[in-house]
Amino acid sequence: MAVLGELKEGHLKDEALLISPNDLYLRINDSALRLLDIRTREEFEAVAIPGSRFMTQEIMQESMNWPKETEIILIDHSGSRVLDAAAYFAGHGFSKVKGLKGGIDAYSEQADPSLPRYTTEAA
Amino acid sequence: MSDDQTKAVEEAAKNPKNLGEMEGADAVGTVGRSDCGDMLRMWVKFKEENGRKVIDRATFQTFGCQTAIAVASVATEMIRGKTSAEALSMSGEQLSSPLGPLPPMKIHCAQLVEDALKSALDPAAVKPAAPAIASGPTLADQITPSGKVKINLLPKSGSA
Repeated sequence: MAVLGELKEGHLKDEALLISPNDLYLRINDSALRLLDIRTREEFEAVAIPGSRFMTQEIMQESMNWPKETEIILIDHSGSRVLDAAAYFAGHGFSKVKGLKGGIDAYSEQADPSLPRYTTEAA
Repeated sequence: MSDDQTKAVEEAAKNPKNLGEMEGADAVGTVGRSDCGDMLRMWVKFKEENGRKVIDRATFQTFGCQTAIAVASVATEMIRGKTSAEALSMSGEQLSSPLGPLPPMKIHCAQLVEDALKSALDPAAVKPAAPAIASGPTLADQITPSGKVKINLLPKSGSA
């Protein structure tokens, strides 16, 4: 039972680091949000959430100097990598960092169908 | 690391002294690269004291681990009042000595601080720093992925 409790607690902690597609959609025009896209450049150029920036090493470096209370939303394709990225930022002191739950794929499906969904394969 | 040392490192990393850029520094040195996960930049300001040119203040910024922050914090305190030559003669081990002997895995953090100091005070003597871990991507690398992928756009649901 203790293990189950820990799993649940871990899950809640993970959830706290995520934002749902619909919640993001409601705030998409909020200029306080910094949307950082951690997908590959090809994916970013094919489909991107308006207002998001492609995460380069330069932005990565720049972001470390942003105020620690900056609201950062991290976006990947399907939500499988954002937790690590969000944890990285949280570990660097950012208190309001979230990953987009389900990635841009869930965002296209649930919040903004004008963004096409896609699959990837190694080029 | 012993418990005491872990505590000392955590404390120094949590409340680092001399953190941040320095305006009007007399010397600046950088080692490592931010994209490899270990980078340290150090600013040094001198002053005249009893006819000697000594370090008035040193500050740092790092994109490294907790130990690098801790070592840089104690080292920038330790070199105050020393001449350039005195500071240059200090080894990483000496610069990190207030934290106690570092475990082998963390010695490169002290080396990073020593190299940043050398880069600031005697840039010609510094060889480019090797990344702490030469192989394997860091978490920062994973956040900024490389590699080419082919995108297949899916037809919109409802369309033929």
